[in-house]
Amino acid sequence: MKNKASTSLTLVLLCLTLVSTRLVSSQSSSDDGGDDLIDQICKKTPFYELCSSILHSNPLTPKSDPKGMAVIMVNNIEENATDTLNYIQDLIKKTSDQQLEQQLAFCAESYIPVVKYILPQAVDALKQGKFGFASYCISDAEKELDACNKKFSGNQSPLGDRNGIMQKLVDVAAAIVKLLLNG
Amino acid sequence: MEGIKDDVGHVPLLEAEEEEEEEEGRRPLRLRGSYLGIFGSTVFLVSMAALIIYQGHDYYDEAKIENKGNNNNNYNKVPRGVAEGVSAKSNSFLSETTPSYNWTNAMLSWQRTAFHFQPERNWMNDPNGPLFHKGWYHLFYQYNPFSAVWGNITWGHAVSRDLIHWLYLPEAIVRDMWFDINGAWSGSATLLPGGEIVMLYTGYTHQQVQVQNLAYPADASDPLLLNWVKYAKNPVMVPPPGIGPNDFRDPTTAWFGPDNKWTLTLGSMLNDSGLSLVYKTTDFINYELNDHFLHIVPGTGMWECVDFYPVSINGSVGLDTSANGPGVKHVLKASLDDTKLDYYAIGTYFIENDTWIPDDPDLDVGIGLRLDYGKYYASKSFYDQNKQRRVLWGWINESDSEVADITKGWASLQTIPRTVLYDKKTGTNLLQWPVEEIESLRLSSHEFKELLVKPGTVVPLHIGPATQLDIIAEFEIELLGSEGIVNNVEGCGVGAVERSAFGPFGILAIANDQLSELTPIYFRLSNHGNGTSTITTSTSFCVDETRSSKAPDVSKQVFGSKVPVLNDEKLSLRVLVDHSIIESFAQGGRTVISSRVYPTEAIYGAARLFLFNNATDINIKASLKIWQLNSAFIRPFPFHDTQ
Repeated sequence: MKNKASTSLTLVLLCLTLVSTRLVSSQSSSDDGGDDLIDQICKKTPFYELCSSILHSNPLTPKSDPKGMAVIMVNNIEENATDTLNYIQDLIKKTSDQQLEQQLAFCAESYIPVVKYILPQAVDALKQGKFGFASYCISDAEKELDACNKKFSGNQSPLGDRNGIMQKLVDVAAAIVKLLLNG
Repeated sequence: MEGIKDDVGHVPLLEAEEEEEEEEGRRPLRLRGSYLGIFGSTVFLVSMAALIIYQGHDYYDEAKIENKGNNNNNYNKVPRGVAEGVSAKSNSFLSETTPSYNWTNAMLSWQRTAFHFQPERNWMNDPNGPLFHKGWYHLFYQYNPFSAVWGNITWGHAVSRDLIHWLYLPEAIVRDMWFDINGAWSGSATLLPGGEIVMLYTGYTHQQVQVQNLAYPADASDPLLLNWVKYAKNPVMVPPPGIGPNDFRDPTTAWFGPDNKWTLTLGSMLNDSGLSLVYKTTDFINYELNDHFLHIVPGTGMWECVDFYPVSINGSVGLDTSANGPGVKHVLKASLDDTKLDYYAIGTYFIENDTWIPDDPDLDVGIGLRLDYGKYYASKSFYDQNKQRRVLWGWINESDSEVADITKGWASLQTIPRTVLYDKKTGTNLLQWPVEEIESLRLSSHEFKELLVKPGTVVPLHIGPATQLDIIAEFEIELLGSEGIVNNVEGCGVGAVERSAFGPFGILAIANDQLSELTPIYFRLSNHGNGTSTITTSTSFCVDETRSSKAPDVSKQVFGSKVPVLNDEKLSLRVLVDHSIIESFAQGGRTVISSRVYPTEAIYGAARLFLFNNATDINIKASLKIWQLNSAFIRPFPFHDTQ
């Protein structure tokens, strides 16, 4: 009996130690101030790992400013979109396939307003705290990307992964802005 | 079907909802004290919300006040607007003895369009200051925030990425200064090379004088151009000597000339001659009036909503308002106050002395061609630098009674924006065509090839719902019997019932199975033989509203005009059907007719589409492609935040 009591007590103490260790370690990582916030926010987006890696890898990401994180994310989309637009325009020049050329031209028409107006306006709006307008711009950008994507069926898209990645980035950005909208 | 009671301002749906609120308040409070406060404040908040939402419906109180206690069938003897010095803004076709139809909510609700721009409620008229800026198309419009009749005019505002999907924004220019307290009336935007936007608009002052005011965006970096600032020292133009205080309005977009000045024009009148005044400015604050008018045409009366712009005779792209040179002609357009019709003429602009003359004096402004032969007024174009096209807006008023407008809570639409090009094939007409972005609304389609329609027959087109359609059709004619028939009856006649050798034939829109209500859109050909047996053909393009509705308190006219058809051309038409508006385009947009229909039976699932041939001596072969069109879901801008 005495053995069992002392074993149980040891077990309880062990559990308590483990639990308190965890508590301590999580407290200390929040003392780092921010990495956890990035993770917290990214966990509320559909693509946590993508979100986390982008925000953690960018030295300009503010540690405790969700608005700034949204700006970083949208800037990222803008860079990607600009790059993809250039790529599309390159492909158009190189291809002799008329149907492909038409599809790519349509995509270029979709990407141009995204790069020229929609995403820059989303960034401005975020910086000014106009989250509703920013949210609208991001969903607009998504519509354009989607329209381009639909032009190609299945695996035949020459834009390969680019469009797919951007869709994910857009979903992440939209989720972060939604958090900002809801306070 | 339950009818709506026949007193002005009775809106059963709304009243019922209001009653619900009252009942909630009267519910016995048997709740615990701790919940009482929550319940009480909820009721209070809901009531406040209801008050705020429904305050827009004070309109029928205001309408009663305006009618000064007259009975429901009183139609203002002087149409609205005339006393203030603008064109009539109410329908005077109805006499005091025209019986009011028992419009049901179902009939009235059906009338609202799915993809034409209209505000959520209340009155709209002229399109104002259209422009493209930083990825957004902007539309401003004459708007009455309080009522479904003209009055209290402010500038409504909406934006769109594609000229089709519009989002409502707060009002841009309200009547809050002495120089526009009686109305912030129509005007135009000028985009400066540095990216600045200047807006000039007509203000009706506290002393009832028409003046021109300057306004500009409060925040140049705001893509939505939400807020506008009025120049502190407005007005910038006042009626010059010799021009009446009520004959001076609707400034155009300015154009930049070789004299390094901006020039603009606005309509006026002298002794029943309509004319266009010319002003010059370098800073949009100080203006000089030219000695000469841009143009004057006797007998045309006051020119409202003057529009003046270059077109390329090559005819393939639109031109910036400042464009000029060889290969460019200029269009001068005026809305005639006296007849409420929009006229245009193509001619030559002499920039050296800022005058303009028409190519054909017989087709001068106000006596020649019309932009639209139906219910259409106060049109205004702008240069869309985004897609290098000239885009034209036009106001489509209601053709029903004011009482019905007040009951249904809204009045007026804008057309689908149209591109405008010079028709290089004829050299005499402009071509108008719905902007291509409308095609994004297309859903499923049906195609018919060479359907034979014999004389005196009607062929149903089984396409499913028939209230939101994009129809493209071509017609071929097969002469029956011996040749040599001469039929020189021209024009639209009294309507589609009037048979002749070579017409009418076309389509029946918003028609029911019984054909008790229908709107024919048709061609009618005529030929003229002369002694040497050369035959010339003329073609008329028409819309017949006379049987569009059984209701008597609706205007039902036959609209139409001759349309040039070249030898190598088939007869073609395009029709946009959108509930109570039908826009019809013949020969690629050489002749356009907008019409309003208010059926009582041919609504919702009962509306159909038919081909018809009421000619006596020809078979028709029709080929059509017909798309169902989606709604444009025009709605308030989804801000969601407390900006």
